[in-house]
Amino acid sequence: MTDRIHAAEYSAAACAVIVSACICLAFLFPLAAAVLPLFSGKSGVSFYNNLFRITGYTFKIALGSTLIAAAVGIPAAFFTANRSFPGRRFLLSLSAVPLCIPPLIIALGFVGTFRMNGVINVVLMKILHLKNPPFTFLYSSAGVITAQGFYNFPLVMAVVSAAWKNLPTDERDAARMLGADERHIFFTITIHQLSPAVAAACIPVFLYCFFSFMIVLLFGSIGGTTLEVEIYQAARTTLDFKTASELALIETVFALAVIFLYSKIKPAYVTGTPSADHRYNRAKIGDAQYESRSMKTAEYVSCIILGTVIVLFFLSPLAGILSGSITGKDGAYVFIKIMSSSGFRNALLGTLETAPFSALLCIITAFVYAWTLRVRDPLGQNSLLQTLPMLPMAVSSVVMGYGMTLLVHCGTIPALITSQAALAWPLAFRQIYASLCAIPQDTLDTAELLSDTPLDTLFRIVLPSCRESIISSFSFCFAVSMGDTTLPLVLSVPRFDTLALYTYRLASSYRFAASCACGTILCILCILIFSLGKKET
Amino acid sequence: MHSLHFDILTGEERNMTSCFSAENLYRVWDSVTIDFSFAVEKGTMTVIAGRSGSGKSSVLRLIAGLEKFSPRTDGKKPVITLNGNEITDLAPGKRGIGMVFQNHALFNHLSVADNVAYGLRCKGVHAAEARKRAEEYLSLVGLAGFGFRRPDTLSGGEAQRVSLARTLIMKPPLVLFDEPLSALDAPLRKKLAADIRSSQKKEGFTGIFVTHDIAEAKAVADRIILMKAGRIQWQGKPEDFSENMID
Repeated sequence: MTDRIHAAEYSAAACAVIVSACICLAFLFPLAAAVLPLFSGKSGVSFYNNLFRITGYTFKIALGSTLIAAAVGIPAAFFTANRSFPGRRFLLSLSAVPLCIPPLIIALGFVGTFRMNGVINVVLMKILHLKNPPFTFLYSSAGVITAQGFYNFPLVMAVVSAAWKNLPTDERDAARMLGADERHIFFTITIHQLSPAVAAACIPVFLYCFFSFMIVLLFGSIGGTTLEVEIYQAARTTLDFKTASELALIETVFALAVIFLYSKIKPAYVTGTPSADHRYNRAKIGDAQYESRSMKTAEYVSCIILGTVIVLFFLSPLAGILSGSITGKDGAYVFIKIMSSSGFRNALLGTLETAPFSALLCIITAFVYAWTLRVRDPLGQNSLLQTLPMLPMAVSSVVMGYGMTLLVHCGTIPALITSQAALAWPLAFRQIYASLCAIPQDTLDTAELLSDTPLDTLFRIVLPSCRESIISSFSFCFAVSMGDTTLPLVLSVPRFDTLALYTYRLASSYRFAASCACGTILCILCILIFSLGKKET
Repeated sequence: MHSLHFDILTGEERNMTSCFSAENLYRVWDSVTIDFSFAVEKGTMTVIAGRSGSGKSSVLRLIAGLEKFSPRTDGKKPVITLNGNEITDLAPGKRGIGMVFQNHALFNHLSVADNVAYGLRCKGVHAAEARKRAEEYLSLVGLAGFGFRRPDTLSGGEAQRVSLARTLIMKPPLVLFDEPLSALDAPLRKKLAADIRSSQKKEGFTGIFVTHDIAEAKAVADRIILMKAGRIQWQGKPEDFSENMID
């Protein structure tokens, strides 16, 4: 009996290692394939002129979006970390939105809310008796920047809020005792204590916006194109593979530099946040102990402005998806209509054919790497091994899809699943590795002494210990894969749709109400699966 | 200010000239309720000793204005006076009190000299003048030439000396020490306790020193207050204080 158990354990472990190796190859081969066309033919001067323009525009869009995310996220972090107010928990829970709601849905929400005859414009025109809609920024760079900035602000808020809450209070108290006022303390002490957390929050947001594809594709103005969109156009429309490869290389090298910077800043942020003061009490807004009357007034005013901006540019677009679907000519009947269509059923089936398998491959790869890292580098000092899981962050879905298309020539479902897993496994890795690190070394040593084989420790102690993080990361990767529009679009698997791709197709064929309805269903499914995983943990 | 003080051990009531007094300090925590009144004579060092969780550090934070008083039902109001002036409702930086923290609370992004000069700069002293005086106080605590260094390159003892210099440069009439030596090893603790005592004599400030270490308490104190569950259990001279008083 024991032998059979051991044999099963060895088989499972061997399968997991093989799967992980395949996923690594599924990352490396498409990347190599995406770069190979570089060595064919020559690029003209016009290409380099365009290259500077496109790279500059991409950088401008990413930087602008990050600045908006920081400008909204940091004040929101101040309030959520230091003040108690109704809706504080709700505001913090919004940090799940960029993780579980696809950008396509947000883009649709912005269209529903801020288009010429969208809810906001119609309401404002009626109230203010205007002839023309006041918000006309949507199909421009400003629209892209606003949508991306607000979509990502909860990420900045969550990271900075957690850091702010955990800032050591003694330094600020010491400054207070030395006669510094609150404004002086903020600018001379707090801002320096917070800066690693702000950088650690803003760099990934910059990268997400740098790689943004769907929002730019939907909102991009004439002449305003990003590297991602250009790679897609070159690879899928003009079939100019050399240009696509050149752009892909530039984009990936730039992203790698950002990742390198991030890997240097992240440890400073982690070590700079000690545990929370057990006496930490949040004051009500405008009721903090050391604030002057003018500061209290400023706090009230900024709270109202911030709340209005978040409601207008974040919550309204979310609500706009639902309102966009039921304000069409079919009303609420659009949901029944869309769900009874064969296109929707096929898309749902396609999603269920890919997302669970992609999530499964993600957690297998993530667990194998996390366990290897935990055993090989228990003190977390090997910076190379620690940085490797960040590499997929430097490769965009478009580049991966382009490389995979060059490899397999025609998109297939297994190619889609492996591509998604190759890019998304680091998301699972972070959670699983954190839970593995939380197992005390003494526990592992004891388990090893009492076990017949090392695999006994793995299957009887380690796996059950990080069960919760495995479930949580599975649901996270499931939701990410389900909401992914880019890879299914770039790979273009024949006679195959996913819910996200189907929503995009509806939107691009100007069936706005139907696309919002499909987007609403997709959004609900993503939130449901994401929260199921969270609930389990 | 003159106030009557009752010595629990001798049962003797005596008059003392106090530089500092705190009456009806009251704060309710989950684990302990602090209800505390005491006075400190000018130029002396009073040690508040007691077990962890007895409320020693909270008393210091209430005095410093870093903690709010809890409202009480018996109508008694907290009153803190320093050199005859009531400071109960003043902001921490306006009370004329300095504080040395347990983990030294140095600003890691500033140099040692800038740390020491921080308070002077807040008061509007010119940068060059503040830096010059910072160097003087660094010399006073035995760290001449350390001004350019970063706090994270200092040892625990050096960091605590910088913290002391940063406090003393403001020439506060009252200095609060919140277990400043607890993170140091025994020989260094002894040395630094003696240094704090000598700088107190030299600078002439009044001190309130919180510790859970009996030997440390005896080494620095002119008077010891033993605290238990937020209240005074005993107070008297160091030579009358014995370890078995802490049950």
